[in-house]
Amino acid sequence: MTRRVSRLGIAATTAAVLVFATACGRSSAVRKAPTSSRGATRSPAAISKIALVAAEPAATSRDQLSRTIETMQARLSANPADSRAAVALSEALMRQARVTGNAGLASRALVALDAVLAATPNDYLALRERATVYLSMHRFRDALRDAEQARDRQPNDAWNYGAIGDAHLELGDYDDAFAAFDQMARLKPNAASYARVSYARELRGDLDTALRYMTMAAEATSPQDAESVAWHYAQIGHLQLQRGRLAESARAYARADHAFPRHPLAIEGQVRVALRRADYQGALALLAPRLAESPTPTDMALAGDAHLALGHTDQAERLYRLAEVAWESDTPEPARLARFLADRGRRLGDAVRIAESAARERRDIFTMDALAWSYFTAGRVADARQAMTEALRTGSRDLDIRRHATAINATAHRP
Amino acid sequence: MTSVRRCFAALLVAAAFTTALNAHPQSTTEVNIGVEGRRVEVLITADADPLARKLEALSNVSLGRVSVTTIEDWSDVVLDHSDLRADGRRVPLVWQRATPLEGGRVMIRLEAQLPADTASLTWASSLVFGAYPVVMHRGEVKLPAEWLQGTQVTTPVALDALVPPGGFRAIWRYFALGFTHILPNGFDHILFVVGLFLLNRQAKPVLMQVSAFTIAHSITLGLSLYGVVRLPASVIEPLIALSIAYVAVENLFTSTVKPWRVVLVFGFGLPHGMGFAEALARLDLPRSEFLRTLITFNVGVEAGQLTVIAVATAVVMALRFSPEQYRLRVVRPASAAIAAMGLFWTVTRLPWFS
Repeated sequence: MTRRVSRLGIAATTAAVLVFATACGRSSAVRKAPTSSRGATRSPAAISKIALVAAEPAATSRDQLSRTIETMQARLSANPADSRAAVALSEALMRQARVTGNAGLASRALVALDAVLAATPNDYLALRERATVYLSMHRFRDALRDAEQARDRQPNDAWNYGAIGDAHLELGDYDDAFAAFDQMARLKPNAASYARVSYARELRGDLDTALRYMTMAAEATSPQDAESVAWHYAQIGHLQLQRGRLAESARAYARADHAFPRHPLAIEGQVRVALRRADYQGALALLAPRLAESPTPTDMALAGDAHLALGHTDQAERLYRLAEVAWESDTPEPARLARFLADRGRRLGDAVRIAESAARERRDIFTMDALAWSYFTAGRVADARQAMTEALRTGSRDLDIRRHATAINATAHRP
Repeated sequence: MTSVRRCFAALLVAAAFTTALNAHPQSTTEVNIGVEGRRVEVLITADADPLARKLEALSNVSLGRVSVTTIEDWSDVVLDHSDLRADGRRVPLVWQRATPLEGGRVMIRLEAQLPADTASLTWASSLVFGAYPVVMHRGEVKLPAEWLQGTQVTTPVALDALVPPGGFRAIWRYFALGFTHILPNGFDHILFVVGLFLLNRQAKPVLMQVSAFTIAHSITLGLSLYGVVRLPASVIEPLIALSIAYVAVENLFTSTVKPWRVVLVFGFGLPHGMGFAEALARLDLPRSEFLRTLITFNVGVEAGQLTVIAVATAVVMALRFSPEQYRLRVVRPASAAIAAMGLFWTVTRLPWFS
């Protein structure tokens, strides 16, 4: 009897221990985190619950974001392998990056996630989050690798298809991107997937459907999540601008600004609307605080345009020069720099060289447009046409691409 | 607005599950601030050609040529756009030199003297239109990089934070780190120690095993910290798990401490030490701190282990089992459970498992 009790005890204890061991995952010798949320041995259902907890939209105002970052950083100082803290910190930092423009925060997020993944290479949430961080750092191939690895582990997690699609999109692999977005929308029809479907439609030139989906995305966003609401309305403003509806566009940007005051995308959109209305003083007034504080190259380029339109050529020239060097070394974005140079007729030889270099890395339609326009302004019309064919391959109705295409075609067909 | 849309794909992740993104790459500029007594040295490293053109645009004076050498001509612009503050008051910076580096880079060296009794420092600059890292250090003590966007100001850095923690504070810090590495964070170490304890309740066998384990893990902890030995986590982790399984399985078949058991426990202690070293490696300690940290951390680990044994002893004493009952009702089920867990971990920690 005693032996039977003992055997039963062993069996029961072993079973209980195995369940516990599963939850505990990996060694505390190299990881001291609370270990209940390891993904490698969990079901998709468990993961999605964890994801929701980890991504709870608790921090959406500037103060809340700062508090979350401080709290999570303190937790990580005590235990650098605390996976949940690292993921929450990363999410807050990415959000902070979006509203401050401080791209360096992604590096901070990456350090935290790398520490977790070094200690616990199977940590699913950290891996998934790292794909997002890589995307923000323009490390698209790294993002794709992590996101695909995460997808292989959890094929039913819609998040991964979003990240995979985003990376393909940036690299110009549109078919793969759209397929990933479709899969994402099938798995989880929510604001995130609606927004992606919207962008896919926009790239194909279907602006009306794109607007409908983006509106659905905005409506599906929690009003508590003010930053996200602002982001979605800024996208609606952009689509309205592309459709030539200035009043609707202005309203959407104003709504974004109201939801999250001074959101960079809202301000930039309002400036673009002002420029389209030839309200150059208004554009400069909107840009003034940003120019005095932490101007981006785009801010300086737009302010330069406004000054040029007002006849302030010296000021425009100075801002253009600063925008150039900023796009070159402070916020390095070669395709945008090339397009800027070609659009303003500056350093045309450099524009071609920079655009060619960018096109070697990625062949998305905007990079190909930059290349086409650089060739065109440098007098290489045949090359321009060839590049423009690639820029037009999705059927996008982007205003700049269409303007460039029209000019290139007109010259190409001139006798 | 096209520019905004250029970033759309990356930003879309922002909308996913409320995660946010910024889709701008980082600046090529870096700032390194070193404090030595009252002297502060600021090193600004950047791409030379864009910096020269930026300084020219900011100065509104064209020299008709732009190169690394012309950066010296705009030293006033660099100083005007650099803002070092001691307790909120601007400290005059003095231009030293601009040194060309490989890969078209340049390093600008500025210096300043801090007022006596300065408590904190801040840095800001309007030279960078993007995100760049600022690192502050004093001797070997280096703070993590703070990323600034454009004209953003660093959080005030207390000069005390740049002094290695000394005395009781440091001892307590590393002791606590060692202790918490066992209790409550080191569940697998706890099981290993419990496995050692279960075999025989008497003090001598327990002490023999724990001593062998302690000596072994102390050796590899020290060697790992000094970089003499290093094994990847993919090797250490399964070995630790295997050690747990082994001691537990042996408990099922014997009740006496054989000599080979002590030798094996010593052998198993070696990977545990390398595991402990991971916790210290993350602290990014200066080499001068190694020995003190090693000793205090290890004492903390031992204290954690002794606490586990003390609790286990108290539980076993409270049960008041005879030796036969103890073996039947405690040693066998508990060892079986520990063995199962150890084997499970061994398999799941193998690199190819995932």
